[in-house]
Amino acid sequence: MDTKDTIKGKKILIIEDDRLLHNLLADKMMQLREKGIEVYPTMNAEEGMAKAVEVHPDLILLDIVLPGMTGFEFLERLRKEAGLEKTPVIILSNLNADTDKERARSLGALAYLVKANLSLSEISKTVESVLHGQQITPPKEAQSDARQMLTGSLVYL
Amino acid sequence: MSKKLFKGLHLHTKFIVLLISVSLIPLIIVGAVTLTLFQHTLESDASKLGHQLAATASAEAKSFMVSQLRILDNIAALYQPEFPIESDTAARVLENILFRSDNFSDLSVVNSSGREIARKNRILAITNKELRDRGESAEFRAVRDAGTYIGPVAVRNSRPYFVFGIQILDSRGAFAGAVFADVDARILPKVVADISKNVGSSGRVYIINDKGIVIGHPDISYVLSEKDLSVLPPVRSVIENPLQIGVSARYINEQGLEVLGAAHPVSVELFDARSKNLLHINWYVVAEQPVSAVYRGAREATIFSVLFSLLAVILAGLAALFFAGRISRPIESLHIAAQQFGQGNLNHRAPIESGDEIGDLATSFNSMAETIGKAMLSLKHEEEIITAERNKLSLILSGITNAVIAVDPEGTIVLFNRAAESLTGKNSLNILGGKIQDAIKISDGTREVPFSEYCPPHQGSQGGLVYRKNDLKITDAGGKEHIVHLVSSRNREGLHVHLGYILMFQDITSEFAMERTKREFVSIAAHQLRTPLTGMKWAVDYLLAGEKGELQPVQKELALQALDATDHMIHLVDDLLDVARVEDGRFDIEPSVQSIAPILDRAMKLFSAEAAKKGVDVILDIQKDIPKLNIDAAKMEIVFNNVLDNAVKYTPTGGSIAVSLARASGAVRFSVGDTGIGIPQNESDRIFTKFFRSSQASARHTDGSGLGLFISKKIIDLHKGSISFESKKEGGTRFIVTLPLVA
Repeated sequence: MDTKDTIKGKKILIIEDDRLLHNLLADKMMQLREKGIEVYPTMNAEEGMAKAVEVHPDLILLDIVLPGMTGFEFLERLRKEAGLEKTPVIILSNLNADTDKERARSLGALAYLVKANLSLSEISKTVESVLHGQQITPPKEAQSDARQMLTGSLVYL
Repeated sequence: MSKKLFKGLHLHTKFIVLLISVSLIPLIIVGAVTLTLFQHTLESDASKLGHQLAATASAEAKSFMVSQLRILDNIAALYQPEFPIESDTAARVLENILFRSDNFSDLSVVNSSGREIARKNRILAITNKELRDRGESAEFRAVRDAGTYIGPVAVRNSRPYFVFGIQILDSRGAFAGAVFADVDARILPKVVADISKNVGSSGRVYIINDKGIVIGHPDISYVLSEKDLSVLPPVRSVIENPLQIGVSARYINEQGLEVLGAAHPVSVELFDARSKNLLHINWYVVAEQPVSAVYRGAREATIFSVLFSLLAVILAGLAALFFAGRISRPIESLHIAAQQFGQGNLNHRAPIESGDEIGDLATSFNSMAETIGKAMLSLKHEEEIITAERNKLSLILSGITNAVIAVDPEGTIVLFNRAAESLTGKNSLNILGGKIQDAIKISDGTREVPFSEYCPPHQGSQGGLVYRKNDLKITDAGGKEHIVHLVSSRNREGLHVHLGYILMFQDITSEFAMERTKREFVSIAAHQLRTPLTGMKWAVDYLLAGEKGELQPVQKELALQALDATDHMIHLVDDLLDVARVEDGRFDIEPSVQSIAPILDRAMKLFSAEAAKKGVDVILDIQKDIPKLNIDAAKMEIVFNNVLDNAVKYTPTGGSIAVSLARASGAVRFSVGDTGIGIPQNESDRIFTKFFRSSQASARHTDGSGLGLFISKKIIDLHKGSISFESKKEGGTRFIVTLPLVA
């Protein structure tokens, strides 16, 4: 399976304000550049929005709790931008309330991942899967609880 | 009107009126009847008297006429042509007869042609030359035709007279002449005067002829002036109808006197034996008596009876006063007693004045008053107690900080306390009597809660709590929304009486806001804790992955321990978040009917790996055909994770774990038995509490939050299942979870 070709030239936009997390995530994602993927790390939603409009990414990793515009507000605006309405978005947050997950789902997020319950390599693998266009349809029962993250499984929306 | 007037009278007055009426009415009736009868008798007597007078008059008149005619008959015999007497002798006899009788004023004899052949007058001396020819006169023709003649009364020289005539027949019976006499009519007044004696001094009797002309009257001027009295009612009546006998009438006579008069026919029939003719004379006797005289007796009787009646009225009045007082006074006393009683003077009693029914009534009244007085007193006492209780209740209700509203079964508001006013912003004065459905709209956030839900229709006499709901919304008059906790109870009072509902609203708006703040705080705090932990986790993970150069074994070991500690801390934060949710009641399950085996499978995958790593055997026994259960998969996985995690954690290397899932009676049973350190019996009742860690576990292990079993128990409780454990000293522990089958 020639994955390199299929994901080559894809663009990932990262929006994460925590400096440490931002750096680690960006660093990890940069490893994907070897596979021809372009990574655009940003520190807040405004910056992320400007970049999204500029580069039209193939996937956005979005934090919720951000300075200024929140991740939800970003998602709402993104869905109104021309050409960005369908851009896949993976929420990457430490908020773990059902209401937050519900809201993300209604705004069309692809997945809701709780950062604390995942390792960087797990996130990296998920990103690659999404970029490969693989369907992520887990068992129905496992959809809504973040405790699954302990086991390394994902929360799919 | 009069009925109303009578109704308005006092009993006393009514009695008097009644008694007087009762005594007087028969008296008046008897008096009236007697008087009427008496008057009738008087009238009938007067009438009888009239008849008698008429009969007497008739008889006298007849005998007088008969006697006069007899004399004339003798003269006629004297002048019979065959009678052997000298004309001079005859004339002397004629003169003799004239002067011997007071009644004749003139006698004359005529021949068959009417020529006088002899005439003698009481005053005049008649010569032969003065003899008249009466051949053409009415009396001659009447005598010639009828045999006898009695003329009407006429007046001459202020003397009333009438002419009598009789035939002279010869031996063969042929008409040979006639004898005429002027008969003094003063005989009639004499007759009248005679019979007038019978009618008393004030009455009068007179005779009239068939034309109504007076021919006999005590006052001779009536006769001389030939007074016509045909206008008087009884006279007119008999003239018009001669066959009537005794016509009485009451009228004003020509003298202006009110009289009772009666007219009776005087019938004189003379039979002429020679001519066989019957001579009729139709006169009438009128007897008049002044009404005043006739009814004097009646008037006297009337006056007497009126006086007597007046006396009777006075006597009856006195008797009525006496008896009415006797009868009505006790009743009036009773009335006053009842009035006094009615006005609240409960100590007033009716005086007992007699031993009759009224006395009994008064006694009964008094005993009733006694009973009612006692009852009233006790009622008053009860009322005071009730008032005190009500005041107390109203004080409590107004002081209570929860809104309390009482409604009847239809929702009409009967009580609305001060807190209810401040909750709704409405004044109780405007709201009492109105419907709660109109006054207060209760919403559960998505719809209005209908009245029938918080005040469900009455079923049986069961009272008590009927509805309880948290986080309902009420918008007050000012438009402000209040979050309330509503408790509705049915008011039970009596077996069949349903008094309504008591609604208690607890305004938890501020608590609700605080709760939300707290919830948000917990959520944010968890987030804030996780973020640095994530940084640590990712960084160490990064190091371990050798991304920044291979680590020395010792470094790697330390890094692994740091990663473990970080994971444990993240786990702890999640547990704490769940505990916080359990604490404020937000921890809930969303069950659906599904298979349980796949959930256990997923948990087993992780723990089988861990157990293998630790050198612990896992024996899994999942029975086939486990029925689907109504469960929340995610929550059940937490339970499996916790129980399995404990088993692995506390089972030493070389031990074993037996996991089984099987059907039990009416349930599905999941059990995990280990050969671990076990739990001392004295700790068994604390095992499912927060932050519990077995002393033995603490002694050997450092990790474990002590929250897993607490949360697990909560989840199983929410599934209406049970979780328990069996532990043998140093013989391991067995956790058993049972979940009910779908009903």
